[in-house]
Amino acid sequence: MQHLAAGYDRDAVLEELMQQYGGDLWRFAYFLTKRADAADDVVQEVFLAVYERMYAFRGESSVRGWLLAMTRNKSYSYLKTAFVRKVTLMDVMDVGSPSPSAENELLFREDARELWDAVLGLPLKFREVLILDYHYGLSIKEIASLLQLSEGTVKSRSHRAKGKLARLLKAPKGVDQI
Amino acid sequence: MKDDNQSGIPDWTRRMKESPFRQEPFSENMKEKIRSEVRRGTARRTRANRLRWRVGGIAAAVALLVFAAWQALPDNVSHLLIATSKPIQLEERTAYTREGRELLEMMPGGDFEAGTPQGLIISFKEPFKVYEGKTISIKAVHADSGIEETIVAGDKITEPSSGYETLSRYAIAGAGVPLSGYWRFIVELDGVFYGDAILEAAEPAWEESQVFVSEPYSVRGTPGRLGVMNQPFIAGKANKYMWWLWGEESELQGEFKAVAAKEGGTGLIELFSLSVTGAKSNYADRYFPSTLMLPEAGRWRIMAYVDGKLLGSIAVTAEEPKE
Repeated sequence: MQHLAAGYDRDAVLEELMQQYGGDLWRFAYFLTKRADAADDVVQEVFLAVYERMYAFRGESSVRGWLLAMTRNKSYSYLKTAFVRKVTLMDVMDVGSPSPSAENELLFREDARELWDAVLGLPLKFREVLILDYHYGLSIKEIASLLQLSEGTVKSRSHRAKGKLARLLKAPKGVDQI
Repeated sequence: MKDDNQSGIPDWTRRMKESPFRQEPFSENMKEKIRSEVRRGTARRTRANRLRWRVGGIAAAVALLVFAAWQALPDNVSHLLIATSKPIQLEERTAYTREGRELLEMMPGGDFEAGTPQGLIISFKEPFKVYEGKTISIKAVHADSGIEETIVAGDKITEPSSGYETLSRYAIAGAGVPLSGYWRFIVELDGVFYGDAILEAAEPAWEESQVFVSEPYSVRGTPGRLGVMNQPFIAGKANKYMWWLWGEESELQGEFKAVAAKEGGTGLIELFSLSVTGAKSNYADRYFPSTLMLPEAGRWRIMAYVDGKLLGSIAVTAEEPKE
């Protein structure tokens, strides 16, 4: 981000941000949307938006927090439109999206699959708190500001998410968890 | 809570730190795709700009309609610094001719430079009875951005220029524009288009304005004219800054407004406005506080307006905030 001081070399800033945070953002988009093609689109949109509006970064959060928040917004709007598409088309045709776990199987390492299948099986609001906490190592305060929730809400969500995940991990294999 | 390498904490919390993916999913391919999208976006904007100039003729016609519409709007919005019409034309033209007759000629006094108030002389060529009793108003439209400035808000003509038979030397004192590039100056008589000219404002120097002492303070700006408290600007952080203004009482009455342009940028941002600046104080002819925030680090030119007229500008540097 030191390039921003000069304010002009947007290409250099973009390269730096992609290098440093591209993987983080892609994974976050995947964890939220559970689709690789959606994650591709979301991350591309995030970086294009960043390129256009670099000056909008106000230094109020970390760069990483800012980018994660943008990724979350765009993932949510993807989910929203995907949901709308699904409900409106449901009766007419089979939408036929690949089942998330099939994609997980393809993308995830074998030794990580059980854990991450369970994480992705959590409802969105618990999933995101848990992921920001344990995968990204954000503090409760950072998570609260990113999700625009109070720290208390984040703490209680995180607590409940851990409980749910523990139950999912204990559940016998082959049982379909919703 | 991050160090989970202790007993009592489930093993999965530690394992969640690692990426579950077999391969880094954000690949070099993805990066290249984003780079090419960025380039495409940039190319699209450049093409759009070129096209704008080509359709200048149509734009001019549209602009006339827009100006007609502007006449219908209340006066208090007329000097807002917002884009109100399309770019017009891209060549300097100081005279306006209709049906082979020259109606006016416009001459900037001295260097016509963005950010500095300018003298501007207009030589009207028709007999005085054409102008007598009418109200002249002049605005300038920036070709690149469409930003509009009021140069003369409305001046009733009662007598010819001194020593001449008609309005041969109509002089305007504070005709500054905030951005470099082509400006179309449009002259109206009683609200009806009379003529126009296109002047090119030079790029100003972007060195930081000088710091001087106005007892007991350190001030940045132009001594005897305009200054702002000499304290750092941090990008994105709003802060309180005092202003010093000096001038004739007639120049200092009316709304104060500060806008800013970034070096290398094309537009203006509004920083601050104040409806009344008070009266002469011990420190300066006007001395008042403002809250200013520059959104991006780099060199900025802050332009000060009183009653819609450019009083002057101050070049400052906004620093990157410390993490």
